[in-house]
Order: sequence, then structure tokens, then C-alpha cells
Amino acid sequence: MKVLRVISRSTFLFMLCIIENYLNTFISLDFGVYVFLISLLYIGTELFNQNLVIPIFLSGILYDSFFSTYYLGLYTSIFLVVVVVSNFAVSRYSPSNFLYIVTVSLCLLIYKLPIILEFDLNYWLTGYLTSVFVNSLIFLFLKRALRNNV
Amino acid sequence: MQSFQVAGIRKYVVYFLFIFFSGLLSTVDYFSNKTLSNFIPEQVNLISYFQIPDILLQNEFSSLSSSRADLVAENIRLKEEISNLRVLYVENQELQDTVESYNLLIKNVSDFELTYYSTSLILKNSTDEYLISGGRDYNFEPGDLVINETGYLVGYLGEVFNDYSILESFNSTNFNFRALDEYNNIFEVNSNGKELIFSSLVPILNSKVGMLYSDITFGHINKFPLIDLEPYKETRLNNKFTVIVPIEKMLSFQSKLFIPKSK
Repeated sequence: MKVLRVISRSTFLFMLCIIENYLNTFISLDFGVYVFLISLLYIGTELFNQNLVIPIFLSGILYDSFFSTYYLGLYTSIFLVVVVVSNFAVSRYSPSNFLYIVTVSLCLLIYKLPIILEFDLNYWLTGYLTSVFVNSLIFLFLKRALRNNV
Repeated sequence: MQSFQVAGIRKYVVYFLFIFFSGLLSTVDYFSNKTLSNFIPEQVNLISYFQIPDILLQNEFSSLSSSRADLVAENIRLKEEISNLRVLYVENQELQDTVESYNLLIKNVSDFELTYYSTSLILKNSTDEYLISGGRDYNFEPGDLVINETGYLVGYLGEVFNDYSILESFNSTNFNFRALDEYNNIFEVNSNGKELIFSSLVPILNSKVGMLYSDITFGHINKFPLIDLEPYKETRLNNKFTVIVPIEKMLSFQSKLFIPKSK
């Protein structure tokens, strides 16, 4: 049962990862909608649990293997760091919309680190700021919607 | 208070262990020349069983930017036609520029019998590289050229897996390409993601730079046009040219891509 749970969670996260890539292939605008990042942030802020480390790790390994030209483990560690950073932020400081936006900004910076290091500032800054705005909105909306449902 | 802080840090221990493990994997992968990261894709065919639904392909939103390319692409369907058009296009360019030195090479190009494998975009990854269909199953190799329906180069294969490949297009910062102009001057082409930077590797005596081509001297399979630099402003330093060209066209699901291979 435990193994099944890990497999299903890993599959779900990997599917989110693929959906995110497809979505951003369609969007030819200057920003990205990072569904997978938002789910990692949600895990970090709301569902933080040591049992989720293996699904995140596995989805990262799958992403690194199939969709990335970087070394195996790079995006895996980025996914894990995003969860840890977001959880650390909300446990250390009192949760507020401002804190969530700062967390999204910081985590997006970590999430896009490989591309940010390669491109110059002019290339990614506008897209980054727009992405922070869009993804923060989605994240806050998601949090509110799920809270209301609960 | 101290025990509370220790408890707070303790919940991250497993995460830190896995981050450390991921770092270890990256290090092993780095020193084993990507043997680890290629292991799973070599065993599993991921793309062969996956097809993009037609509804998505016919989506108006996704075809806004490429309707013109669609119109052009509708007229050029057969591989043979593309080959002939490409050769004619190259020949026309050469006649206009009246460069006799190219005529011999064009004859050589027209003598080439290439197979054009049709490929299509699958998705764009987080680092703005495109995954395209076809890999080792079509004998594709890293460095193989990728052209569009008009015969122009759009990039080359960076990595090849069982049934898909990663295309290093103009948008990729890993894009590094060498090309020749009409006067056989060598140009190095790099990308910063938004602009293509063309730098001549040797001093150039002619006043203008025209069309750039791939060439067999760089290990390319044939001569394909890359871009016409004439409309763009160049900077000259010690007779070395640098031309910066903004990247305007992005690839889309409607882009028709071909990979030329020798028979």
C-alpha cells in the first residue's frame, strides 16, 4: 500500500511537471505558468510531510532523465530545495499574502536558476517579474479556494 | 526554545539527505559523461506511444503566430519538393549575388541524395530547449541539422534519445554553430536567448556580409541557408564583423521540421 501511494504520488507530480512544460510550450508570451512549481509551493506551505520526499525526488529524477539536458539530480535537488525553502519561510514568519509573494519570488528564482545563470539580466528579468505576479495570483487563489472547500 | 528550534530543523533532515543524494547523482553523472541520465531514456520509449490531440494542434490560440507558416507549409508537403525548392532557392541566391565560386558547390549540393525525415515539436523544457520526435530509431545523431519547410536551418540536435531528441534552436543559450558566407568567410554563431550573435573568425575584406550557410567543412551534411545578414547592421573591428540579429520567430506545434540524412 505504501509503495502504491508513493508511485501514485510520483506519477501525479510527474504528470503536473509534463503539463507545466506543455502549457509553457503553448504560451508564447513573456511569462510562464508554473503549475508544478505552484504544487511544490503548496506542498511546502500546507502539506509539508517527510513522506512526500520520495515522490518529489522520483518526479525530479524522471524530469532530469527525460526532459532536461542537465545532469541527473540537478532539477531533483531544485524541487526539494523549493519545498524546504517555502516551508521554512512559512514556519519562521507569520503567514501573510506578502510572505507568500516573497516565497513565490524566491522559489521561482531557485526554480529557474539554471536558465537564469545562462541568460543575461535583460533576458529574464521582465519575464521573471511577470511570472512572479501571475504565479503568485494563481497560488493565492488556489490556497483560498482549497481553504474554502475545506 | 532551543529544543523547538532543533525540532524545527529536524523535519528537514530527510529533505537534506535527498538533496545531498541528488547532488551526489549529479556529480557521478558529470564524471561518467551523462551515463546515468541517459540510462532511463535508453531503456524506455516515452514518446512513441504519445500523440498530441488534433484539437490542440488545430487550436486557434496556438496557431495565431504561425498561420503564415502554415500557408507556406501546405504547399510544400513532399520531401522531394522540399529538396528541389531548397536547391532552387540556393541557386537563385547565388545567381543574384553572381558568385561564381559557389556554382560548383551548388552542383555538388544538387548531386546530393538526402533523405528528409519529417519531425515535429513535442514540448519545450524549462530551459527553453525543444524536444522533437525521432531519435536513435531514425539513426539521428547529435549535431544533425534541423531545417524548416523553406529549407532554412533552425538548429541542430543537441542530444538524441531512443525516440526523441533535444533541438538546440536559436533560443537556446547552448546554441553554437559555425557557418560560411558567400566568400567562404567563417562565422561563429552564438545565442543569448533573444539575439543571435554572428562573429567572423577571420578578417573580412568585403564590405558587406550576405547569406550564411552550413557547410560540410564543419561536419554538416550539406549546404543549407542559415540567415541573410545583409539587412542587419554590422560592427567592424580589425576587419572582423559582428552582427546581432534579434530572434523573432519561435517554433510552434505547426512548425514543419526536417532532418536531412544521407541515404
